[in-house]
Amino acid sequence: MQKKKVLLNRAMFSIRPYESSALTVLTTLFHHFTEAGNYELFVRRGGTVIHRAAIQIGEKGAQQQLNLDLAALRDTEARECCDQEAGTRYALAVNSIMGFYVSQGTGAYSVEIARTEHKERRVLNSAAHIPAGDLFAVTLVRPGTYRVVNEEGGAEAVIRVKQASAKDYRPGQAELITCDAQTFKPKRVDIMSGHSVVFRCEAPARLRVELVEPAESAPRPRQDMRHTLSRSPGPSGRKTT
Amino acid sequence: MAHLTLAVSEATFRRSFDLLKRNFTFQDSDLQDYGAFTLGYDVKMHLEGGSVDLRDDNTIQIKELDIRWDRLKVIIGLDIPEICVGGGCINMPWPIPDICLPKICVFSGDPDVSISPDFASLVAQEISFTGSLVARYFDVSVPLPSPDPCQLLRVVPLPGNNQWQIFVDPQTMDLDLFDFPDIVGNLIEDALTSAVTALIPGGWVRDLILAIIGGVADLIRAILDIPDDIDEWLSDLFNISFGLLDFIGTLLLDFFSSCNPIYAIDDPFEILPAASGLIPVRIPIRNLSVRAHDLEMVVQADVGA
Repeated sequence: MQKKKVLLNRAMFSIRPYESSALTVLTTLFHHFTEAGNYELFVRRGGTVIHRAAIQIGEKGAQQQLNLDLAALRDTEARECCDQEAGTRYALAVNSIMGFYVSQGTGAYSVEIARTEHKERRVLNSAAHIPAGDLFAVTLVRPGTYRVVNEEGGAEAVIRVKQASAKDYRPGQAELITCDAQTFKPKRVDIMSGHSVVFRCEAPARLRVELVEPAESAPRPRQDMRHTLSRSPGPSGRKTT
Repeated sequence: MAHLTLAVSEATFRRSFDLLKRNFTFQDSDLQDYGAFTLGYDVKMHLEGGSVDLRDDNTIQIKELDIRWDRLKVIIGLDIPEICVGGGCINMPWPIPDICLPKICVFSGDPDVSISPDFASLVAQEISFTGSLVARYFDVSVPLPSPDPCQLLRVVPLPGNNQWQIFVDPQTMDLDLFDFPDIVGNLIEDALTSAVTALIPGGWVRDLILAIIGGVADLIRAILDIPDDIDEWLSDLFNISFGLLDFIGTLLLDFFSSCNPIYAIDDPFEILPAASGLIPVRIPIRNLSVRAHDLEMVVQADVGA
């Protein structure tokens, strides 16, 4: 067997807030296309466009969901994206979903989608907010208590992430939370580490999920098992308690 | 009636056989890919002990010849499947289609672990065989077959002249199957567990990964597709899949029966060496035959013209 070089996806385990305005590892933004037509997609990292593509939303026959790994995008020469046949094109059906996620790395991305015919008419600008009807998902791995804030209206919710256990762990589980400007429904969910929470926004939203209280993963050492060294009054003496 | 009769005592025959036996060595290595795991071996062995018995029915019995493993490395490589979080689908109200979340994986690929413990001191096997003594004529003018099956097995050098050669020719051979003891199974499981565990970061990350893979021991058994004991599984692989015993048996048959004579008599045979300016006296040997008796090996031959 040829030995492969395998790297740990460290970004998965770094502690930071998850924001809909800056897509990072473990977050996914789903845009819901409700109207047929031609669209332009712009993916930005750190303010710089790294990927442009044309999206064609047809009435029938195209796929219902496409998930795009933003960390895997290899774009592009500076070109007029959508005027050239050679450019990247995605074809989806009306009422389809396009997901944007980051599989690895520390980069933060934003996504912009606009009508080709009316470039000023943006249907999505994730850096600003998630439009009504779109969804934001976060997969939480660190056990603990998380606070969810909708920065558009100030609504809050709580997610409690429990330690995963080999006995009853079921992969691929997700909870759905609905949000509008004033509130989340439900306001509290419990999930297991490695599971996801999907927020369905009924009004424009800007979501932030942050760890407020990490769970202890190992018991603290007993007090009587501690060894304490005290400095004695003398210049070199030490006393052990 | 034969012109010449030569007898070799059983004790002398035993010493000759012992000398030949001690020169038999075997080493081999192989690695087979079974998809989710690789399995291989790297082995080296020699022969020790055993008893030699010449019998009245013109047979020779070799009993309890020990296979001593100088190296018996078992190479096991596991291809750990991707370990990912997320994924799954969620039902959405019409007209939105059900949404499937992407999976985010802990490693950039599926990692491998590999171990190669040496169980030379834990595996013991014996060989016994019954055979006959056969005499063959080696004609130096006849070219060797190509490829020469004895090339790697020959420890007795090829003669530079014609010879009568006496071989031990095994008829039936019994080899002990590989039977790895329980401790081998435990050692393999411990080594694999350590190797897999070393891949996994500590703390809560480890708890999560262990939950996803369902525990290291279960993961290893699932990858290797082992329902029960690792030692039994390994024995079966060595006995059946690798076919190592068949291979060793075949080599032993060739080693004794056709590649290395236990005795050899030159033809013509020198009965007086060159001396005082005279050429040596040599007699041609014809119709050589060999038989085993209870206490000795007897060789008879004619002096030819």
